[in-house]
Amino acid sequence: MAGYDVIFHFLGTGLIEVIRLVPICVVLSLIAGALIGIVQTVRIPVVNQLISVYLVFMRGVPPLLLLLVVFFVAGFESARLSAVFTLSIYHAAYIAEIFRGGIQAIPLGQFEAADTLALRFHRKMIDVIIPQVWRAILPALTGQYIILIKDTALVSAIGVMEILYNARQAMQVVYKPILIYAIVGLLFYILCFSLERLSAYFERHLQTMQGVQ
Amino acid sequence: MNTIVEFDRVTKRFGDNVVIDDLSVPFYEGETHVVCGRSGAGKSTLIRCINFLETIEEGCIRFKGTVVDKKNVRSIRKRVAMVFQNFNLFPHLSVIDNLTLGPVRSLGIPRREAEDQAMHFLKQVGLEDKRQAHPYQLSGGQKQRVAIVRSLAMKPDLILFDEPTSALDPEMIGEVLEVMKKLSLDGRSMIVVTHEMGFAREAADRISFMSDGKLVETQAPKAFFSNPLHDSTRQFLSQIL
Repeated sequence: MAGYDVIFHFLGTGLIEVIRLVPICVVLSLIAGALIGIVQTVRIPVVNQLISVYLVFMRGVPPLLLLLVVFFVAGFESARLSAVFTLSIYHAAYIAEIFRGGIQAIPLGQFEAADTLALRFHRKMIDVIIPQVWRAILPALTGQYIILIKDTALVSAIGVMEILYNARQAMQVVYKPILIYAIVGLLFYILCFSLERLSAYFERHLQTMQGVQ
Repeated sequence: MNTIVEFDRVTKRFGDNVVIDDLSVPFYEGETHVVCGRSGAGKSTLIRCINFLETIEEGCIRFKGTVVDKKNVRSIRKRVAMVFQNFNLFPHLSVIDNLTLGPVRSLGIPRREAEDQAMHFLKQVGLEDKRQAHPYQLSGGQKQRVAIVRSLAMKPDLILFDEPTSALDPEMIGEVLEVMKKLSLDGRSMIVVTHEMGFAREAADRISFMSDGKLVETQAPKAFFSNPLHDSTRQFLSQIL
């Protein structure tokens, strides 16, 4: 059965690249998205207009185009860095909206109770509001990160050697497209499914921690 | 008698709707001042202006001589506590964490000290065994008693009560009023918006009747109930008593 070792070698390399990319993008987009989402709820005139320009732009442009533009314009030292940056700011836009919605869904009384205790804005957010936001937004957040995992398939366009890139490389050696793409699909499925399980675990954990309202 | 809060020609509007109409009134230190009136009369708005949850359009509110405005808002909120109709406990925190959040984060009291002090108050309302419970495990009356303790834990100079029993089942109203009466007897400064006339009669030092954004009359309980000066007060009392 010559060729399987080649296939697994290439796809394994690609998988490792994806596993390296995704967590960094998750962390960066979560931080940026949360901050942007929070700032949006405060309604600072000029800042808010800038944010809406950013959101409209990110949501109106295909991620592949964005990857190419950033790659050729921004001049990061490596394609990987460029990919991480692009995927992060792209998904941060969606995550910002998820956060904004989550924050606005918290009853006004929670904000008022925190204000009445003379909490500063950041303490109100960190201690009172955001902990309650998690549970509400976790399903939407998971959905967004599943899309992020799938979007990593795009970064091969700028030469980052993720799974799909390696699949094409493997095919130069062993021409078994159906088998190779089937394995690629399976790998993505396993990644996404694991994330879903992880999210379900967190959801249960948050429920026991906060009690069922 | 010292004034704790002073309204000086205060007007508050929501759009075209005048909720507080050129109101001037003093509230005194150490007193329990009950504000009653029909719904929509502006009672809640009145007390929410004191801790800047609402902003006023005209006039001036002073808390112990300090003007209530954006600049002074935190220093005033550190000294003015509020109890809400819907409790507004933090559902993700245990009772003890609900009680220590303000003292630790706003007043900078060490956690141990804040916990000891919270337990002291919790005992007074008979809920020391609920320290680790979460709000969803409490009854309405227990929630409101915890909320009152949360306000006490801030060591406030003044406590505002915004219809504290209106969201409670009838059998739980008594336990909350009992706690409030105790606080009143302790000589705390309290402004209480409520429909509980029994409480007003027993615990209030002064009762005001609010109508159309004005306090149409303010009297000691005895006179308020036996000899209301104003027609609208008389009508209101005859309807609810």
